[in-house]
Amino acid sequence: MTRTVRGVVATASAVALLAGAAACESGGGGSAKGSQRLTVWLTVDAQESWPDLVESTNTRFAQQHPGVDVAVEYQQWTTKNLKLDAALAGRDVPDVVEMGNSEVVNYLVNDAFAAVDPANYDHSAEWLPALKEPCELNGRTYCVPYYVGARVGIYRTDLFQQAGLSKAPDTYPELITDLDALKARFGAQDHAFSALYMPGRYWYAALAFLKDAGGDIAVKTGDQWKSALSTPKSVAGLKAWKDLLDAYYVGDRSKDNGDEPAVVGQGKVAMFYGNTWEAEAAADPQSGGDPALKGKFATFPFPGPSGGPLPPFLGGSELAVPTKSKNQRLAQDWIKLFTDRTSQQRLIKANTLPNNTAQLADVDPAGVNGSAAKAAARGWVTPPAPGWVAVEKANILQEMLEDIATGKHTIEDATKTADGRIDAVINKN
Amino acid sequence: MPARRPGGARRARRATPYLLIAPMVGTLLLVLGYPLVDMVLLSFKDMTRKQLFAGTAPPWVGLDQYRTVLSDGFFWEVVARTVAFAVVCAGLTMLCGLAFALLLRAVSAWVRVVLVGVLVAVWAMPFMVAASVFRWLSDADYGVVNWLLGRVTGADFRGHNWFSDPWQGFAVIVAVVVWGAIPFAAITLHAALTQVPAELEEAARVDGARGVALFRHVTFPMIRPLFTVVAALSAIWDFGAFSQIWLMRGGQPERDYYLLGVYSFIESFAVNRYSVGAAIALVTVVLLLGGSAVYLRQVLRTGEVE
Repeated sequence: MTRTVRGVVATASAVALLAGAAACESGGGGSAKGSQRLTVWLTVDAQESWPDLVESTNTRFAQQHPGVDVAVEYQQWTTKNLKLDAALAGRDVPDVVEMGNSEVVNYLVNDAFAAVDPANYDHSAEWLPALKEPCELNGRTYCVPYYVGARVGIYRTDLFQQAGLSKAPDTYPELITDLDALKARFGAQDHAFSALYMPGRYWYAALAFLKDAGGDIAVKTGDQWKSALSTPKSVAGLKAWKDLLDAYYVGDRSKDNGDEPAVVGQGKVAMFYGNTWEAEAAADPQSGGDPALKGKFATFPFPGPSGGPLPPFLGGSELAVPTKSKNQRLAQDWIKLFTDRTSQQRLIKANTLPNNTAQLADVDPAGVNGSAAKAAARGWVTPPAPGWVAVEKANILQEMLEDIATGKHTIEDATKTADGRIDAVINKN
Repeated sequence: MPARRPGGARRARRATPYLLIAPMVGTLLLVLGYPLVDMVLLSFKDMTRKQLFAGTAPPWVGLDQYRTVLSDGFFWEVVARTVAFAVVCAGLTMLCGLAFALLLRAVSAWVRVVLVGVLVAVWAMPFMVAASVFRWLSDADYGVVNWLLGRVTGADFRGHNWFSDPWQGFAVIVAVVVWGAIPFAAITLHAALTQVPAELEEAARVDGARGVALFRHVTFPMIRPLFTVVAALSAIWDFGAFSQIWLMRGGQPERDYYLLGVYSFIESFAVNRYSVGAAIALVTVVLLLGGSAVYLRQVLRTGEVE
């Protein structure tokens, strides 16, 4: 072997090692330090939909606590908890954190958040159970409800008209008749047209059918949670969901609803099940929507096969103060302002539902969110089990539903597999 | 052997290589050694979020985590899948890389410049971008691959999902991995080929060797040491593949798509079983060390043979 080839080998190896070492570097975020600085982690929803509320809260807070600097940092839902875990393991923690109501329980059982006194907050006696219950542990409250959203049926008024339909369906048989009419009118000419948009991994929708049939995700006996997806009622609900999907959805079944507004914006969907803001997003070019669709969406309480409205998942947010925060008093004052009566009014204007039943009455019943307010009474939340967050993050439900939707496994087999996987993690901290 | 020098100077001369290598060793110890030791320790404990948040010491559980991991059939399924993935990726990378290297030697100078330019551009593209591009190419509803296949074959590929069948899904993932790895293999092997003395091949040609025989018996033996090293490196990289799978499955890979890296990450940071994740990572490291042995042996041998 010549000297030069050896040189090439040596150089190549060195380059490879360096590249390998570089790949191991990882980025880390931290929060600022200092006793007179309050760090608030909100998710991007606040930045996109009610930045003025954050602004006005900070102004009001500054009047009460002059000299305290409030730094609001916006987080993505997908990466927020990883960053939070890293921050909580250290000393520099945020003082206020926004948490999803289905992910907060695991943090409570692991002593991550400080207790708060509900009496200090507006309307705390009327807090929505879907937001209040995840915050409670052993008789104490560890987070403050922020806002909630409920999914509703959303349809294209122009397509309804063209198909000869005059109004939104009130009952499940009416829904089926309408979907048949839409499918016959548009689906025959366009193979990419879905009368109903229902991707396979859309677990908030699928589990709403499970709940409608009287099924449960998991049940608690004693202090142990057990997954109940393969019980007859749960299976019956998933069957109804699968039938609907088979009949009216033609798109990719292994997707989730992450890009729903963009897909609806393509114009090949007549009806979908979603948050009310998604109707606006579908007409907003910034989120992939089509501005030509502006004003062509209306909402209705999505009827369930059982006869009532389909029970919606009440996905919402809480605000919590980490135990390690050095500014707990200030943090609680900030949350108090951010969630008080006036702030909730602003949130209602942004088409969310308020954190309490008293102000639910303020939601305009004829408005875009009126249907959501109506459906919210039947709303459900994910099981407040210590290990629930692991169930969500390990995509157990999504995989089960994808297997059902694509026909890879029968409903019975897929739910049994999921039960086994859920039972393995649901009771663990 | 240099002429004898006074003792002090000789000692300084002896120390020089160690001084030169010290920064690298120090850096490696800091960025790789410390986390590695920490991870080994972690795999013998039972760390949960409670200890993480409170900063208390997690309890020792000895070999419990390993017992759980190694007795799980799914773990071995993932190991087998990872090994197969690494072998297929590295094999394809080396084949295509070699083909490109030979092509580079055969074409005219300006074509060579263009080809090398393209290769470097591919090399320079970040994983993130490449994975996103391939993901869109193979998208079920809007992907150009489905459109093209429909055009070419006449069959209906509309809405065909490449990832619902893991074999097809892995075909796409292997494509993006190999695509990104070819430049390094091609350019390195080309460099090796330029060092093969022209007289040697000429002499072989005079003796009547042609085509495949010439390559197999004369050219390839000359570049074999480098070929082995690059192949081993590719296999090691592909064994640890993570980002391509993570990105192409939108951060939510199905269990059919778990490789060891993904599995360890999910156990650690999704299910929050940090110690189980550490145990899986450590088993991965041990398996990788087995692979590295080939690489190290080759590096050592290239030093001996002259």
